[in-house]
Amino acid sequence: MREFTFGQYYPANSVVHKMDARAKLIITIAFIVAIFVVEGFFSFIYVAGFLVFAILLAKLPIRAVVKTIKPILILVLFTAVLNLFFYQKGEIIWEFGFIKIRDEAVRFCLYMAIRLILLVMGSSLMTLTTQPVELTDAIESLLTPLKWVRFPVHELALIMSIALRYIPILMDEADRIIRAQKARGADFESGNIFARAKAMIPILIPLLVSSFRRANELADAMDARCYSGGANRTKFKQFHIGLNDVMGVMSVVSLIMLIITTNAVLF
Amino acid sequence: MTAIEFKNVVFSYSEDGGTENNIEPAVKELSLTIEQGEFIALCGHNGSGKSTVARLMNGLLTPKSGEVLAFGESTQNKKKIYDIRKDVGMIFQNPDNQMIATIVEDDIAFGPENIGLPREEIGKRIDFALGAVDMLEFKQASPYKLSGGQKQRIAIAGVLAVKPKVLVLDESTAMLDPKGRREIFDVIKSLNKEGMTIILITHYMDEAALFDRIIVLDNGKLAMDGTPKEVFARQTELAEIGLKLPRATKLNSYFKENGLDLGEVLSTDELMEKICQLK
Amino acid sequence: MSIKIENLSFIYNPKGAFKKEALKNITLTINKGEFFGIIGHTGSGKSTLIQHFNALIMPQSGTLEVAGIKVVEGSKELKSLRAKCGMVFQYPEYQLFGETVEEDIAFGLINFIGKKTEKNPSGLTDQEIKERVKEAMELVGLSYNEFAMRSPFQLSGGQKRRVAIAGIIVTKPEILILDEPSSGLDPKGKQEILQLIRNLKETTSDTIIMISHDMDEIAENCSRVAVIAKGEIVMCMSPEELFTHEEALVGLSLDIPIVAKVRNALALKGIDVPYNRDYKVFAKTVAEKIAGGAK
Repeated sequence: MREFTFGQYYPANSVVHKMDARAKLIITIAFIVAIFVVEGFFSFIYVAGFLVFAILLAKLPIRAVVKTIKPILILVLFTAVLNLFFYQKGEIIWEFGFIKIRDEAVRFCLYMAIRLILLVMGSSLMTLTTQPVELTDAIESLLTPLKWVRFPVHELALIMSIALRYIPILMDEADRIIRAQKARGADFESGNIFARAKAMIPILIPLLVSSFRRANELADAMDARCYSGGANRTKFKQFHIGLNDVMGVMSVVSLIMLIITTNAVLF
Repeated sequence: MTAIEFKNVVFSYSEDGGTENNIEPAVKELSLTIEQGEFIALCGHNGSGKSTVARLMNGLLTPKSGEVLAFGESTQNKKKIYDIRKDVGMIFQNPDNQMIATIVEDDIAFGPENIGLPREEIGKRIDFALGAVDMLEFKQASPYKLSGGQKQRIAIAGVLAVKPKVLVLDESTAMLDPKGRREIFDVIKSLNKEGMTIILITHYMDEAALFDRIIVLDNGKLAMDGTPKEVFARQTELAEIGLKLPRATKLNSYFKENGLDLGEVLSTDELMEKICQLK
Repeated sequence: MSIKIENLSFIYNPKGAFKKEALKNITLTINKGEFFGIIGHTGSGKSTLIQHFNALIMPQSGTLEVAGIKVVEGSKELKSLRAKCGMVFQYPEYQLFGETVEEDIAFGLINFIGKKTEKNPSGLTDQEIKERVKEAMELVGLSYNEFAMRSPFQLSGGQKRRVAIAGIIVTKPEILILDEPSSGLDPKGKQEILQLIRNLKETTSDTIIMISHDMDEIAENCSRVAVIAKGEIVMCMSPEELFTHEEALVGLSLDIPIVAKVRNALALKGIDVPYNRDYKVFAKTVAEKIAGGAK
């Protein structure tokens, strides 16, 4: 059996876990804004401090949050190195043949790397403390005003919810099909890239056929359960804005203000 | 009170499905009356039209000619279709393909949300429905981690939450192991005792024997309709249709052939009782 | 000997939080020529066990030998093992993918033996492949001329299952493993599939291993049955003997055939009737015994 969740929800009994998912979503977006508002090196200390404080509040092991940057580390290094060599502003501080490194480039690279790392850690903090279902509900709730411009908010949320439900089922199904084709001598590991791509066909076709069959049956089941779209529908799960949510939003707003003030004073 | 009525119903997949021309109708001139509170097994081999008949009952399909009435309302009446679906609940074969949420409670809420019940009432309905299938402790569980029988019970609860008068189960026991099948039977039996009409579609005749009325379809037509006793008396016809007698009835018929008369036997339990009373 | 298992254990996620002991110390020998049944309810470990036979799951501890090949990680013979030991999964029709029935059935053949090329002189020519596919189709009761060029997705449920089985037996496996081969079929379909399996035992695959929930199916076909519960083999004997242990089986929430139930109930009353899986023969003996006594 396999458990698959987005951003690996990390269950714990903390203030952050109990916060309204909408508040968490807003705070995360504001946090990302804060990261990009930063102009001086100094302000990153505020942002990092805010993040560490939130991690402690969420009762998450720091290691678990740090681990989330692992998949993007290569991307961070790659862009940093590229920028280091090709950024054309500032004084040259080191030269070797045609390679020239400028002081502005060093600064720019460091900023970029720190921003990316903070961004990933910040958004991971949200997925680590929020169940995927809550998150889809929150997105639906926050997008509600878009209903006025006929944006299918409810449908979008329903699609996300169904996707979350069927990902583990389809992964199991894929696993089963892979085993069944292996039993028929299929080889997915050898050969060049084209041979391997071709070897996927006996997995992909049955998986597609099965997804369509499931989709058909699900549509019937939803119809049979009186589904008629978003209109006239009520919602069982409701959000409650609490004191913690207000405080959370206030503190992230303060963070942005602090950064802007610092920017103004220093530059 | 009449729950569901079929009046000369003809249905064919050819027009809207469009796979091949001149497809034989899946249901041919079917007339049928189901009274409120009945406990019915609808039988037939694969391709006999039994799933089509089930889908005609709640307007998932509508007849090409003739009429299907659910509590007096025609399923062709688009304005009443959600009322009909509220009254005639339906469970499908694969429990995995009828749940939309990742938490049991949220899934049960789907039906009540669709009919626009207020929040407090939905909470009550969830407890009622999970209680009826004896799954209250799994309210916060993920359906993914449950056994087949448990998942199917959750699917039933999801339908019960809109308080239907009729429950149609389209081969809902076919994918379950014997334990899961018993679990489902116990649930629908107790629902029937409380007055709900139950229609189970199945080709396990051992299972059908436990119902009050058996309707047998063959090639889209009504082949037999009666009590298990009446239906199982027509052994040769059943065999021609591709259905078997329940094992107990079959064994008992051989007893009788060899001069050991135990009377009528429909289920294993009945046969065992009679065996124990011997001498 | 077809399959020899010694002290086989298997744990899912041995280091993780969801650690699950699926098999505990299984020791079992399945002989050539047997029709071997495996019963046990969902989650008992029977699927994990049979996937070992095909090297789809590798032994974590203990030893396993299938058709003379030792199943160990990194062995070069695993592919030939899979050709010798065919595996029909539950609902095998869900693995079909070919544009035509012929293409689908030939898949295993091409994987295992390959087409004849300069590099692979022992491979099969197109004509040979066609012959083998035709043979496999006829064994499962599908006419080559009628079905070979059709899309497998347009066939009926029972026909699809036959195509899937043909795709396994096309390599003529010595051992054929089937996981609930009759599930989801109607009574007639069930009967046909079981008849097909019995025919295969006579033609291509001398040793059959079958998982089933249907005790009549087990009683009717198997020469020996293993009962698995919580990852252990709790009983392994002939069906005749197994079904006298009614209480133990009911305790594992397993059924027994109705004939065995009647036999056991009569035995309790002091009437000993030999078990016979054939209803007709059994009923005759019972009637004679009872009529000869009181009536």
